[in-house]
Amino acid sequence: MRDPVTNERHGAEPLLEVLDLRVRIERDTGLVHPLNGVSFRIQEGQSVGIVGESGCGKTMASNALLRILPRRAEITHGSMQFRTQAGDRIDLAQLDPMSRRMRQIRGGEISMIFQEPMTAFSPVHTVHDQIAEMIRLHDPGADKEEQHRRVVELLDQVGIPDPEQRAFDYSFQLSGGMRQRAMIAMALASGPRLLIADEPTTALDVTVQARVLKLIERMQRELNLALMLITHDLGVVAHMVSYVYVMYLGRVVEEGPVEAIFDNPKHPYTAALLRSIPNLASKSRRLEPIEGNVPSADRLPTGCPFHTRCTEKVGDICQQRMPARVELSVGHAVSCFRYTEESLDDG
Amino acid sequence: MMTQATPPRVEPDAGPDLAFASQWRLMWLRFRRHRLAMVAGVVLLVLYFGAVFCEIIAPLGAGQRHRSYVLCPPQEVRLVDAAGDFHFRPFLYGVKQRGNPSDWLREYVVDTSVVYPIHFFTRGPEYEMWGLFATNWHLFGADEGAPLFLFGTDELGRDLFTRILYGSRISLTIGLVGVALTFFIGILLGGVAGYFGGWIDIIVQRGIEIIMAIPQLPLWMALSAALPAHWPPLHVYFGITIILSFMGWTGLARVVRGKFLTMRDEDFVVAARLAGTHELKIIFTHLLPSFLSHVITSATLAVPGMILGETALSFLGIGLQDPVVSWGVLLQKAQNFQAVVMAPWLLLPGLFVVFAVLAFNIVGDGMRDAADPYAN
Amino acid sequence: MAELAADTILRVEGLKKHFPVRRGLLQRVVGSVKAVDDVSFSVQQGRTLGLVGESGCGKTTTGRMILRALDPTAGQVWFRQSDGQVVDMAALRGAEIKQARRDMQMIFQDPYSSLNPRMPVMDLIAEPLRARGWTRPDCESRVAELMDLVGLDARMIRRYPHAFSGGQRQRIGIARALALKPSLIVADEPVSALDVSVQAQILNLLQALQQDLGLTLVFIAHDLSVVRYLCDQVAVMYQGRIVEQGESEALFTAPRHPYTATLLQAAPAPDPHVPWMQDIDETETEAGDTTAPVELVDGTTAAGGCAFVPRCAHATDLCRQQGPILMPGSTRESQVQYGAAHLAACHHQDELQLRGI
Repeated sequence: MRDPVTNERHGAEPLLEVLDLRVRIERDTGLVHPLNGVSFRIQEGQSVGIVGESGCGKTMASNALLRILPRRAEITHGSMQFRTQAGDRIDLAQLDPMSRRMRQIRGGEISMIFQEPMTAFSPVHTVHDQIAEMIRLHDPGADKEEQHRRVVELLDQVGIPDPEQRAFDYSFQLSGGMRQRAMIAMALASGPRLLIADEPTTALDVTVQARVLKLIERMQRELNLALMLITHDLGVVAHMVSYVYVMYLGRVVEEGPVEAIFDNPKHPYTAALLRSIPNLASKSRRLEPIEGNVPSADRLPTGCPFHTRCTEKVGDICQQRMPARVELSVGHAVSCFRYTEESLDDG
Repeated sequence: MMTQATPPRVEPDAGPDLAFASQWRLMWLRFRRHRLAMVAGVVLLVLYFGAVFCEIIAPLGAGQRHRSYVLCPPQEVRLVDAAGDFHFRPFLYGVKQRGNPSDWLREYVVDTSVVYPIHFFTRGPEYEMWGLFATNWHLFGADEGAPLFLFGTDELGRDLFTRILYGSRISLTIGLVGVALTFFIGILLGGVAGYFGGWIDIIVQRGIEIIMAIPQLPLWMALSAALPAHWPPLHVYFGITIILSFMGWTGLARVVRGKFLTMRDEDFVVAARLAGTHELKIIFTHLLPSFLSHVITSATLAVPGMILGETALSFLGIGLQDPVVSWGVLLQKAQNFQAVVMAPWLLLPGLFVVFAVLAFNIVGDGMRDAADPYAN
Repeated sequence: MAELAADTILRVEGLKKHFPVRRGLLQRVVGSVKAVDDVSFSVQQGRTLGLVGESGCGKTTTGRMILRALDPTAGQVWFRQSDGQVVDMAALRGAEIKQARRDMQMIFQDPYSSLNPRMPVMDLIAEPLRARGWTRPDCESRVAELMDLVGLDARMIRRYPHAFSGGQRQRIGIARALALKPSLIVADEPVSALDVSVQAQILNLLQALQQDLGLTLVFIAHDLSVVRYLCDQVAVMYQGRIVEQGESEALFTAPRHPYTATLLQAAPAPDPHVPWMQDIDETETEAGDTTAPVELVDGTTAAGGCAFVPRCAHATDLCRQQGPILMPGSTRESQVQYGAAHLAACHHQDELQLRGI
């Protein structure tokens, strides 16, 4: 059946459902909460965007998901329900990060690609060896022949020319775009059901970025892969995903189908963000910057995290309490006091 | 907006302390959090305090021989007497020799009938404070003839505690003087090589590599043997220092060179050039402060090498010699196996070397961790 | 030609920067990397020129050569100083360079590495002043003035860079560049390293400063939307050469070089309704995907021919044999539009109907 809002085909249960996730980090200056109650869900085969600027916690969220948080960080609250291949639901938050089950999922059922492909690859192993290792880890039965065959197949699938030869290159011998493709191949080697892409094209030139994004889109289609795309680039989000979560300082402030978010942003932050970025396609209108700076994580504002820069505050309540999530229409929700009374009218 | 005629003083705001913290203050704040390094720092301060004021702290003279107390073991300063009574003033019991004094086998027995109270801020053997003026004040002492040997005596009856204190002056300062020299040569050559590059860099680098390839100890021994035998102790001291520095500068030069190379093309250096700042000023105001913390850390970690070097040379008999007192010279007496078995307290100078070296290393580590201004 | 047109403040002529490639024990030169290869353009007083291109195209190198932060291998950089005198930056020596630099300054990309972390704001901004003998009290009031100008609270004058955010640091860099009242500013990707919402602050600041102070701006960027917002004229660079040049509007709405069209197509607009990458086949391999300047060993490849051939959908034999020259086309639109000629380095610029935005 197709979801009326997202138009994605999906089963009744989401592939991944994160509820009220909170993460705490110990810094020299004290305790810091980079994630302060984040909830999102991804259906099978759906592409979801997590958008925000630095300090919003989007990378922390993906790290928490795969249980690869830095040493002094821990999940203090919340659940991350993942529906495995076998059909059972596990709460990733409850698993021991080093347990066998978690390691099966990490890199196996949930894969991740990063911003900097150079550091994702070992400089002293060939690309072939590293991808083969991925295959081996998640399919111990595959023998050398099989591994090699699949490596070449994957490299071909991701559009690397001459895959038989190129497989034996080292990562530094490949150009930026090629490396990113190789990283995608490595991520797909285990046949994941969810791919997390954390700023996958930020370090690439725009023409290369376009190709790599198109590749990800194609892989998603062919493999019915769910995609969690984390980025600060609103242009990329507009064209790559069907559903968007907008984050600010550790909270999801607005979520909705991509058209709704761009055409009809409800949260003052979303609206202000869209007004502050230049748009090549529209005539040069005046950019309206968001005044002030993102508050530092160790001194979070009280109440709504955006109130220090918000031009549409409702009143004192904005700095006293955290706004609750309100559903404005099917699939479009916002956390803002402007909508707690008028929510149904605005629908 | 400032619109007055005379240039007004801008009143800085009262922001959080850290905002105004220069790199040194930030470094200090981070260093302070290292408990171990702080403790080690205190240890070093105590050791250097002892070195500076050794004449006052030591109860006796460095060369003063106590013929009746040859190879006397360390004497205990007591507060409770044999009868179990407590006394406020610490005291020593007398010590008598048993057996034939000319015999190797010597035994000292405590004689509780003779009591020597310890006095503070008392008069004692005369000395020249820092070689400047004569006086005879001591921090503590006992009457003439008292066995005030906290660390025992050597084979000539000289108090080891006093000698260790006097020795610390030489051993600890050789490290500093040596490092200062190393500093100077290392920064100069390393900076020149890194900043100008080209063939200067190649020459300096190859030079460093050649020097580093020479085995240290044999080189030291050779150079030391080359020192004229008739030289006065002070000259020998400086000679040794120069010899030790001769090899030490290479490590520092490499670090400095590396830093210069990376920083030469940093944006803020380009910006300084574009602003019109003179090259020399760029080196001193932009480049030098940037790596000064690293250099100081390297230097701190180089001092132990110097101390050990001097100790080793003197221990082998080719460094400083009697009557100059250094920890290495003191350890020379410990070469004799028999002596060590009979009088193990003669090894105490070695313990001090260990303390000093450990303390320097820990402090250096702490400084290294604290040095990066952007470490979280 | 030593003269600059009356309204022109900067003219770059035949600028080249070749880096020698050395191999072997004796470090013999075997070839060269042509980071910038024969670049020419001019900028009129008070206007903004955007230099765009992807990594390795030579835009940053060109920018640095204008200021003589890098020595050109060949070419001239004619600049009209504030006293009216016209000098060739590339030919100046020693003290003359320092003299010329009071009229042209640079804003850097990285707000973290462009400020010495060990100097307080006061010393950072005052550096150009101190280098020219200003006294401390004079510096202090000028620095306060500059901080106000760029939107910083002057009371923060004693703070160190680590106390400021990325956007604020960039403002400090701008204040420093403005200290001597230059007439030309080269901005090297000044907003690329900033948060999205902060970029607009700095862009607006630059625009306002330009208008208020009559600055001429050479704006180096890879983000076309930013360039369209800020710049009157644009020059598109590819592998060390300018491939298209002209007024912003003309260039963006009706590009004349396939590479420009590719760039325009590739950047996704922040609007899901605007089509993206319509006619580009994603499975095309990236023959031109380089992350380093092109390496040409003398005597071999690319002897003739257009550099864009491997990636061009419209390449013909002519393109492979003969390198195109940057010139206006023969159609009327390309001659002079919006006040300046629209130039393209493409043999087929008149025939191709390229899609703009």
